[in-house]
Amino acid sequence: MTVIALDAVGFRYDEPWVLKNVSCEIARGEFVGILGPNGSGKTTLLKILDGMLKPQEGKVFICGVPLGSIRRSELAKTVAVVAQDFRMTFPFSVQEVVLMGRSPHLAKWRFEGETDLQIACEVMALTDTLDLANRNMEELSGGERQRVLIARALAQEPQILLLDEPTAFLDIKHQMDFFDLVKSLNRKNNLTVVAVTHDVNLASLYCDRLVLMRGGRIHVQGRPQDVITEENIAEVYQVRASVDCSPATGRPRVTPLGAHMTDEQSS
Amino acid sequence: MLKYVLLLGVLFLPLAVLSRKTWGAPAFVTSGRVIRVCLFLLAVVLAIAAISLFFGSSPIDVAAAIRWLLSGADTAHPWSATDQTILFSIRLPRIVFAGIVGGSLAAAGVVFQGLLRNPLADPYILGISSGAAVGALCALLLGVAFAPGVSGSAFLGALLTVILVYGIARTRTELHSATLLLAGVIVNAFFGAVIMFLIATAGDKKLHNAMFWLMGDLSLALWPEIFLAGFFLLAGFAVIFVNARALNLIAVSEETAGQLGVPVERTKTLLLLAASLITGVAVSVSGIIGFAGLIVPHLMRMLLGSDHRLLLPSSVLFGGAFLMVADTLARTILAPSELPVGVITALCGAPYFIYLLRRRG
Repeated sequence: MTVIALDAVGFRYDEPWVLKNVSCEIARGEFVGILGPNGSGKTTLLKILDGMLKPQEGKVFICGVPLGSIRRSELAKTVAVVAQDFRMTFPFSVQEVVLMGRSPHLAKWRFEGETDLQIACEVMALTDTLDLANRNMEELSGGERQRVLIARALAQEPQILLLDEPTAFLDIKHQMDFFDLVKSLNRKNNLTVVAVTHDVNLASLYCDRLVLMRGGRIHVQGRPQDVITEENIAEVYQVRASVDCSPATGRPRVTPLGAHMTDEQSS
Repeated sequence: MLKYVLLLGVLFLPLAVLSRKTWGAPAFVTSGRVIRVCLFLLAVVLAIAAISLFFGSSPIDVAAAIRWLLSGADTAHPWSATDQTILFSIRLPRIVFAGIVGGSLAAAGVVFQGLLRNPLADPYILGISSGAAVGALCALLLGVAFAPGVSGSAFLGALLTVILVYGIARTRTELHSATLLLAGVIVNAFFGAVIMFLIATAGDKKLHNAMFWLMGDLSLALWPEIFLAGFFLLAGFAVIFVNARALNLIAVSEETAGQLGVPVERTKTLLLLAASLITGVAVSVSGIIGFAGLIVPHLMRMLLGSDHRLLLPSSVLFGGAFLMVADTLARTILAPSELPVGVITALCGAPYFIYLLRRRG
């Protein structure tokens, strides 16, 4: 079943189109990676999916319903976002942050009830953050903070989880921990995951399907082995790279060789 | 002297009791906790109001008053007619007034700090109080003698200033903390000049109180102004409290709030209107009282956490208590002459602001 459908979507802030003619379908339970260089429209695409930006062209359907006709509070029950880590101005505790995820389910003057606390406990257990419940967010490490933000997203009880370069500031171990956790949620809970990332190898390892963007258009989409090829990497990222199949994972593996394009590759 | 120790003790000792750490309270806010904290702070407010009644130039026969209270408080036969007039017609209105103005400034401070994600924001620092004062002065100069008219004009002044400061500080995508404070400084300087100009050109006794009023003056407490300010504080409080959970999310980030289903622009507009209205009305009746809206929310946040459903009501109550004490000091420490209450709040507030600024690095 298709949970996200984009049909010829175009978006622009001012004159040049940031996204143009983007069409893509994502099925329930898929783990999709969106790749592309800076300014290729990846993050814009994600912001359209979470309802923050309205496309000027084309149609977006979430679970078969046109995005424009879904109220923001309703959308937040279906779509949750984990973005890059940032410092909060005010000290909120971990439990407070996780409970914020219940917000779309509560009338605005209501306090969180038993059910909400129960759900907060469950998602904190899932993300291994129960021990942190009473700590302040600012006392946590980057990896711990990202786990709390996943817990908050899960507290929304979403069907779709959008990740916007969530591991940009994490070391390799914490990047893997993060994606292992997301992958297990994807498998066990049939959660649809759409992840924007700069890390081609990480995407290759975890994603079922990849969308490679270039200049606001989809350059190519498909299985990792079809998308991650030397030609595609050279065309989209403008770098020389060798691509082979990793013997350890069976997934395509990119080895960057340098930024300077040879005449043969750029033609 | 002992009286002052008592007064300050009743203001500051409860802070030790309130701290989340003292109680081992869970790290989230429940409605029960909001009610308990508010009842406690309400008791503090009432205690401070009662103690403040006995500060002033003429001594009150306390023993006689208590005997009168115990014997059924028969209003037809007071223990002393003079005492009763002093207490209930002179001191009580002023104390209630101080409480309402303090609560108003604290409520506005909570909203501006949360919306702008800046713990250094308050109506005074951002120039919003000055803007409201310009509005109020314009109305007075145009001959508006009607209190709600002056307040309405002050509200417009406050609102326009919010829009102006926000507009100066905001780039296309970001709102920098330092730029925001600088914008406030500039707007403050400009409106300060406008106020001086207005006073100089007016040049008659219509504005003879204006200089005093510039540093905050609660001596003109009359029941109509008190009810006016109280009404708008309550109305504004209700609007903000209903949106307090949304304000939590906006205080994290506007993007987060949007992703969690908050209609961000609508909520921000509503909260800015409410905070500007509260500020405008408070300034129009009491002048420019600095720093109360800065210190109080910050102290409460340190003790009770950042959840605005607890932060807002506790700040309103403690802000009321704080300004009652400040005003009691202002009207008595140099007796028989009086200080503007803004002098006291600035003397505590400015060093505290510097401390906050340094600590944030």
